[in-house]
Amino acid sequence: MSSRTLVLAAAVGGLFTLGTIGAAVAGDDAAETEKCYGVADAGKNDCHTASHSCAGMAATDKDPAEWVKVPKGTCEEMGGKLTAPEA
Amino acid sequence: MRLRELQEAFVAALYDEPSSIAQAIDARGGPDAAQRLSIYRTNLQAGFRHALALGFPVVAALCGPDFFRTLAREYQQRHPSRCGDLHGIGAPFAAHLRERFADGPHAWFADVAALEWAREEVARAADAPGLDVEALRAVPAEELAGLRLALRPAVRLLASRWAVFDIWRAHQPGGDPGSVDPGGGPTWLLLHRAGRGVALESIGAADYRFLESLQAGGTFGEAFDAGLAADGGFDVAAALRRAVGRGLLADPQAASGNGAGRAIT
Repeated sequence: MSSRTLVLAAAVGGLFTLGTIGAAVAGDDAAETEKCYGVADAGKNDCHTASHSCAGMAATDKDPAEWVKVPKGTCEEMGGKLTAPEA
Repeated sequence: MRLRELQEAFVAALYDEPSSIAQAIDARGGPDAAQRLSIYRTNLQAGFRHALALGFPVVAALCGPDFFRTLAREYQQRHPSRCGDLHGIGAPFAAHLRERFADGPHAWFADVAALEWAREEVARAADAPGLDVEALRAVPAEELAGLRLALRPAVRLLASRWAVFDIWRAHQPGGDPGSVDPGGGPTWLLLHRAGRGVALESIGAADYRFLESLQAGGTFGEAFDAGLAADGGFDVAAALRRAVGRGLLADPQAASGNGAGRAIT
């Protein structure tokens, strides 16, 4: 057996206790994380973007008459229409 | 005008390209078409910019609101959103900044953007089962060098010649952005999922090369060599322990067929 093989085998052998604990913790974390991030990122894409988008419009277009002509929900709808003009 | 032409003209107007849409709208009467279109255009830009700033808060802070507005608009012209989900718009941002700032005084912005995008990717990456340490221990010693130890999907590695980790940290709550010298690099960063968040860790060059090799599909032996090449005193046992302890490794797949040729015993 080469010294390289011995070094690698020793590295794996050294995992016995630490590794088992670490792997178990990592597994628990991953299961928890999946749900949390799905929720957080949906918030980013929907709530924040839509509300900021509307706020941006109000800030740059000062004409209240124009403002009221934009139907509620335009912010969200617009993305779909714009990005799929061929559909 | 057919519907398809109307839609294309409308999009062109939103991206400041020559468009006949205003005339088409004005022909039907009502309030001034140019002004009405500007509402859509402003809305489109603001939505894009705010979504971009959510993914790249540090780049946005470094730029300041006025310059970030300009930058986001330039970027949107080059890389408009192609999807209803605005999350994906950040994917080519770092590459865009690399080109935009080239070797100028703001060259390091691109690497800060790469760090922020890596965080997003780690947060959203698919879950995957971790390494079964007992299965690894069952592998005969002679086969270890040829074993492929893949990293889990929620792991990213980032190398930069700049002090991007210090810059990023200085922009977190309680940090002092004025205290950092961007030139204080290089940085080797490990990002991985930890509990409910994304963990960032500055790691050594040898650890980085070891993990990078595994992520690129290298065998345990090749990764060991990569670590050794960076640092002759590379401690592979410690590196493996850290990788397992952080849950970086996926289920191992022994490279049984071609692995034999790679294993040096």
